[in-house]
Amino acid sequence: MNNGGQINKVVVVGGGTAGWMTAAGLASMLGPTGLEITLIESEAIGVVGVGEATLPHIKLFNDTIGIDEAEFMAATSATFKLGIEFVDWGRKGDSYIHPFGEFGLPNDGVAFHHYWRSFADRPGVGPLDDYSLPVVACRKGRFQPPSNDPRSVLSTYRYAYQFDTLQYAPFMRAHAEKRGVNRLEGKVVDVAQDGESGRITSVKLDDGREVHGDLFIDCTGFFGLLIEQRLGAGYDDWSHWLPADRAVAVPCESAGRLLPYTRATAHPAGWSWRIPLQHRTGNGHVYSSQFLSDDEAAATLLAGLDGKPLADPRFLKFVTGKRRKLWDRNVVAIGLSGGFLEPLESTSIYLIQEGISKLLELFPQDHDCAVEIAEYNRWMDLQFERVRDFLILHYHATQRDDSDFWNHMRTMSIPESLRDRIDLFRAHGHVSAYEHGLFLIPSWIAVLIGQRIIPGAGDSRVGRVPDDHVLRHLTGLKAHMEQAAGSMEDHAAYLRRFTSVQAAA
Amino acid sequence: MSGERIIITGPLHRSGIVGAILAIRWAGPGREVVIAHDGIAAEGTMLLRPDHQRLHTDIGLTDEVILTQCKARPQFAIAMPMYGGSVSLPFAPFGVSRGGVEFHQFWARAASSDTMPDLMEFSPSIALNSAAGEVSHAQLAQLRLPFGLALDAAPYCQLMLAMAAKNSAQVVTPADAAAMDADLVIDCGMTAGVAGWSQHMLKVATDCDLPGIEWQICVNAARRLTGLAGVLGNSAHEQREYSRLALAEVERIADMRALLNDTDPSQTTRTALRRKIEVFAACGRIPTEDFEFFSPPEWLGAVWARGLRPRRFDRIAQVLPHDELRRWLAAIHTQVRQLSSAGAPR
Repeated sequence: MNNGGQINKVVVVGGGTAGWMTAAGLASMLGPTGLEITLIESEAIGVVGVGEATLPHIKLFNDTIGIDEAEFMAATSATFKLGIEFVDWGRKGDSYIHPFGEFGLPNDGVAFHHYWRSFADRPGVGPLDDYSLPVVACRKGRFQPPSNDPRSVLSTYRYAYQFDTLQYAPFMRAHAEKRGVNRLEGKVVDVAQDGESGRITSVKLDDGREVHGDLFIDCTGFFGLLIEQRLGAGYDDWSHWLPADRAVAVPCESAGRLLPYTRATAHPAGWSWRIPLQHRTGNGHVYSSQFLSDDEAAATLLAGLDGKPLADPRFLKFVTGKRRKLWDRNVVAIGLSGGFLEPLESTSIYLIQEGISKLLELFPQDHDCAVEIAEYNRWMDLQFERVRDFLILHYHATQRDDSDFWNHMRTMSIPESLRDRIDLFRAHGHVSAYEHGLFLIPSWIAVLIGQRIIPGAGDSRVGRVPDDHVLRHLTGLKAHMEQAAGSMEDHAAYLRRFTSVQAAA
Repeated sequence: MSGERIIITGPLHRSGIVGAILAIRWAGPGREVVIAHDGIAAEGTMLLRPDHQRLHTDIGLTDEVILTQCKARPQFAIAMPMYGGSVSLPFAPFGVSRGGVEFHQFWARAASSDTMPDLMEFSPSIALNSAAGEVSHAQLAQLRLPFGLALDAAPYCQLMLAMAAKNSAQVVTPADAAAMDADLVIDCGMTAGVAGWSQHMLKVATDCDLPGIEWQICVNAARRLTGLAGVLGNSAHEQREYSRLALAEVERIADMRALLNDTDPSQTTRTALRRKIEVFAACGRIPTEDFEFFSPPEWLGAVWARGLRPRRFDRIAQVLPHDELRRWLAAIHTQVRQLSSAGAPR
């Protein structure tokens, strides 16, 4: 630590997705200001490798730090992603897609889903999914980047990526090192603290080297080497709402069409993910050990694979929740060390990104930064809590009664914030709004309706428009979506063309 | 009475705005809007915040009608009374942000080593508001800056009332309204009390002492209601949501009032305001809540006017080489000064 207390040296402890994203983000934005960034990682310590599926926000992150999309996609075997399909969640046999886009268009000041709700039982109207372009494109296996013309229906969605997280960290490492990040190979064996302030002053590596820093970023995963093991920041355990505490993962050979979406399929005591990549498919089963054994979980996962397994199943244990203080003294926890919300809505990388962005906004000048710390923690708490509520909704809003797990989830008490939100929607289809959170109104509508929370009554203003006009509009819109999605290229063909053209360039 | 009826009471300049929005966005077959204004005609000038463009488009009023019939003049900033004086709060950001970092961070960096013109001199809004000339409609479109309107209240209120009537709202006297049943009474009166919706009574906020907020409060109340009141009966959850949002609005306005008028705002006990002040003092950023009433440039103008200054500037502002920073700031300052002479002679 320098004598003046200025923050000039950042030490990131831990590589992996969180570590290298943080290092790359800080180096790109603050490297030119003279900030020195060191990352310590050990090849002897494996990475958890969560976050293969992402949300559209990652594109902004990549663009901000100057990552070339084609280079990134080639290096990480990435595919494009337009949403997440949820199978068997509301009831066995159900399927809906949470798209990265809206449903229909508001008319006469009334949100589209009210019209759909009022006419859903008419012949030919069909599910709400039919009125979202990204959903229709997902079902057809089509993809193209959104149009820049706001008048075009092809501008009404965004996209994300599905990538190989084991390739992503090395890619970000190369990007970060090019921007001056100093990587040290080694295992942290000891941590030194300032006796008075409790701040961490240095870490000692297994080869005896001491690495001093002004600000430490803990990216050591669930272990929380600095934030918890040393500073004891505490953990808010949310497993009473999200009781899944295990995951088993296995990659398999690709089979069938390369789909532009992630699939989450509900099982008797949890759910499984399926993430199509260029070279393989990522699979995992998230479950609650209260309701299912590891062997049963692995068997369920293996039985549902599309292709031949490419490795042995790998088990993970976790406790859903978040660190009570994500920034404590001079340690900021980013990634799994800061908290874990299961990957149901691909939020892991988003929360990493949010942690990095907020840290950049509030980056301290010196150690007199209690205000910045408080603001960072307030903001991240809000982000975690709002994501938490959205995830609980998936489990709680179900009619499944075929297992002890679903009976528990369906009948458990939920946070008041979520209870109010469900009650409001159930009454007349209105969605409680906020601005500062990841999932905005279209996302809530997708999941609420997808999981069979159909408003008891619709918005009666729908009646201001004659029925035949509404039906004509619905028919026309549906056909328009179908046509627009049909005009898009096959996802696999687009991907091949995109990567080959870029490679040639 | 068959169907649903909303009666709106209070002074014309409030009930007319709320009534026009509800008549256009809520009324229809089986849904009736009744305006029972108290007959007190609005006088003088009324201030509309930049949201006027969205509202007027939404209800089908053209700029030409507003400009000609109501003698509307663009307002790029709004003058607010303040402890010990007054302040002009701009609707558009100061200077130009760069690399995701707000302009004032760059200004603060330059000011840490050089003598700089005051930050207010980098506000295009403030420059235009004090411009020697009248900014024409064509210039407004070119400038692409948010602007409010100062207009003659009486014709504007009549225009809104006419819009309401054209869309089937009834206009009656308070005495006639008293004899009518209603599913909901919207009290826009100056003494309505705490804003919120409970059962058959909805109260629009009454503390409208800051310039320009009265119109926006009425617009927000009507929009909030039309967003939630597809059905008036059995609407306990919608009432709760309405009141939550209305209360949040009241709180944000109260925060601005306290910031402007408290003897020492840094000692405030208001949680969100305290956070704004503390974070700004620490690093020059102003955190926002969900659905702020005032825009970020207005908050920045207000904290600046109260003499609050950040302890440091954003580190990303260091990226720009010193000479380039100086040249860039000088160019912006020149451009903003040129705006002061924009427009035709008044």
